[in-house]
Amino acid sequence: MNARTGKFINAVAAGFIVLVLYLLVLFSGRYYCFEALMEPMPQEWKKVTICPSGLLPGEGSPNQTKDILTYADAGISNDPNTKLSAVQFELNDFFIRSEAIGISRRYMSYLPRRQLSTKDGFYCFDYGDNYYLLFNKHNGLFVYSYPLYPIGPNSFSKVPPKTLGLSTKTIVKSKIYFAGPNGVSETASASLGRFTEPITDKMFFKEKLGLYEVKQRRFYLIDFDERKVTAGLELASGDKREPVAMGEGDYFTGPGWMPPAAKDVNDEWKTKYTFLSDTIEPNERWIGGSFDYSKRHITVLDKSGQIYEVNTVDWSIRDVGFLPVPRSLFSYGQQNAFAAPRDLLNYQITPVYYTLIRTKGNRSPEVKDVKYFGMCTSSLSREGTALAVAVFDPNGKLVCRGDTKGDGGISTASAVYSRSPMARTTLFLLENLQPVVFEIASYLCGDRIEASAGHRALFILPNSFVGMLGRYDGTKFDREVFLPLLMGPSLILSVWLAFRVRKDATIIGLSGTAKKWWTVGTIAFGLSAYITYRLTRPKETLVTCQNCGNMRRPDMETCHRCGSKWEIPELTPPNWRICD
Amino acid sequence: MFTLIIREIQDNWVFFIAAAILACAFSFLIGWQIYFINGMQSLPITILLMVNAVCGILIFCGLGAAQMYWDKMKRISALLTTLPVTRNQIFTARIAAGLLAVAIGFLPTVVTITAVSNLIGPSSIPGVGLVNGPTSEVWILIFLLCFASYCVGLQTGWTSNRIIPTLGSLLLSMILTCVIWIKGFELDAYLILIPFIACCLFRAWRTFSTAAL
Repeated sequence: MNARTGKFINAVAAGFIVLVLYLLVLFSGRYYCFEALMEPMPQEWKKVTICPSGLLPGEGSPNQTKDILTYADAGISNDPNTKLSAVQFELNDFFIRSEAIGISRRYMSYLPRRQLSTKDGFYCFDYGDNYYLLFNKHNGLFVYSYPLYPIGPNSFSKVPPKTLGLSTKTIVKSKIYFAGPNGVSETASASLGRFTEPITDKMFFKEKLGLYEVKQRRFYLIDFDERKVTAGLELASGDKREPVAMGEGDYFTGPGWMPPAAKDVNDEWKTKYTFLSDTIEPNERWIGGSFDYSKRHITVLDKSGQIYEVNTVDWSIRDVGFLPVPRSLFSYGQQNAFAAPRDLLNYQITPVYYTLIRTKGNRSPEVKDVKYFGMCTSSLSREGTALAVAVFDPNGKLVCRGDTKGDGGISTASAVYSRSPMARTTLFLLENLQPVVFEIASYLCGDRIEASAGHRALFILPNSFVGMLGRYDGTKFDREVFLPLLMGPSLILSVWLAFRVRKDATIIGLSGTAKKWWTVGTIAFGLSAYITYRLTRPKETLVTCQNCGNMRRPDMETCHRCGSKWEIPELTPPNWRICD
Repeated sequence: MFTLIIREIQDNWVFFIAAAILACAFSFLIGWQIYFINGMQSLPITILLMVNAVCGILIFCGLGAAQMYWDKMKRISALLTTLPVTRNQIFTARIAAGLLAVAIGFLPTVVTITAVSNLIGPSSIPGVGLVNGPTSEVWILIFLLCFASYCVGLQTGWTSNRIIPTLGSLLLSMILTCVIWIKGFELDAYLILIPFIACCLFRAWRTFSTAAL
């Protein structure tokens, strides 16, 4: 390694060390500013309530309200003791904080409904006592295990003895099933085939699991009870659908659907389905939700944000809704546009269906009818400052949309920045300390970073003001007008530092090429490049040049200012003389 | 080479003893906590692990800074290079001694926690699910963080000022721990720490190999 290469690598290495430490400090500053912005957000700003939901008959048109209405408030009857159905989602700032910190995300992955990935595959659930369902990526099989508890001399039950009122808790054995595309077996044989990249439904009921195999573009239904696997609908190669998730998603923005309720004798609200009760007989009643329905219909989320329902009986597919686009500081959230899941910090999909059950004496209830009323979805914006809610009728048509709103009805995406001017200004200044090159990258390609990763980003900041401007809905001209304003302080600082570096480099005698590289580097990387320069600049003590009088390097043959050598040529006396 | 490593250990025995005491104390405390108290689910284990990591980072960055500082002040390398030893060999021995110190302070805790958590199995937290003990990616990342702290110490130690190696390395190491706080135990953290260590080692080697002894 020659001296020049060594110096170059040394400067790059020092630059990387400084950059990492510098960006870590900036991240901490930005994180606390974001906390200061989110902290004073009033509780009423965080909720979106659509009441009546508009999904149940007889309740009227859906509307975004602040509170859940009673029948009397809505003018349906004079009964103040009966509440209408509502769709309610809430911006959960605890969740947003957890997403912003990598170490807490790890612990969040343990929570129910989050598939816990391991190096060997992923768990659909794991309740302990050898009761689990996992996908083993090594053999490509789903493994379903459940414990068998002794309840008699030769009888066993899947139900824990405690539930049956029995004292014994000893687990005699576990029953294990393996499932591949070709079937279900008690042994992991190669004849079962293998799944390569399955996306599964998180709902597991009656030993049935719906899944989509990405490589084969085909839906499957595994029935562990009947020990069979049904290969279902295969998406044609020209079909643009790309399923990315199944089921309802996380519940961090819930509760979602709130059924109508009535006060009981103890003055407590109890679920009551008033408008569904017209046609039923005395031994029948409606209950909310239906596992039976959810097993016959799988809710599938597409990469584009479209939601469709796959019928596992006839394997038909139909659109039932989409994830709404939430607002952001520079984006108004178009009414009928889809939000891609990777652009959302979180989302929730809640289908609304009811089951009519008939009870006959002591026999277990019989399902008489299942009704699907529609769906409500919520999208949490990439920045975590706004929530959008959409309600869809059974045909998948958007019937209502709501957004989190601050004072004066403006979106929380804008209102949150007006709560704490100090935090907003500090955040803006800290973002302007980010190197210019990363600011430009945030503007150009910030939206390509997955929303959750964007919160933990050190280099490219999709959630910065510049990053948000990059996703602006308006014209390109507007964007280009705003960009210099948002990046102004950063550019001014970089240019000023580059000027200082260039001036110092001239004084200490760096070569023209080195000066050029340091100038460009300082403009691109700002303060971090300046610190790097100060750490790596030559440390020689300068001496006065006897020829030009400027400071010169003692380790160089010639003065870098005037080019003279160390030995100054003797002055030649002029031929002329001054005479009296 | 072996003699050089031994010499490094003898010169900085305080740090090696401190690392060993730290490892034994925390291995015992964490093992006892897991086995006898609450399994993997208790908050004290997380706190103990964090205190262990912070103490370890302080020791390792202190070791790196001390190695470089005392070499510069006592002119140890100047003496050694009068013998048939190259600067590269001295530097390699120094890094090997540093790695050994990190291993001494780190491995007993890993072995204890892994053994005890295997013994008792995963713990079940109501409403949360099963929580296993720390996995290999956690340990590898903590090891990298400890070694990166040592490398930061090497960076800041080569000076005749006493305050910079002491406070500077501590401050920078504390900033560096934010990598795990921000990125968690994911690939991103590796992508930052591994080049960071490489850059620190290169800078330390270049500073050492080009300096006038």
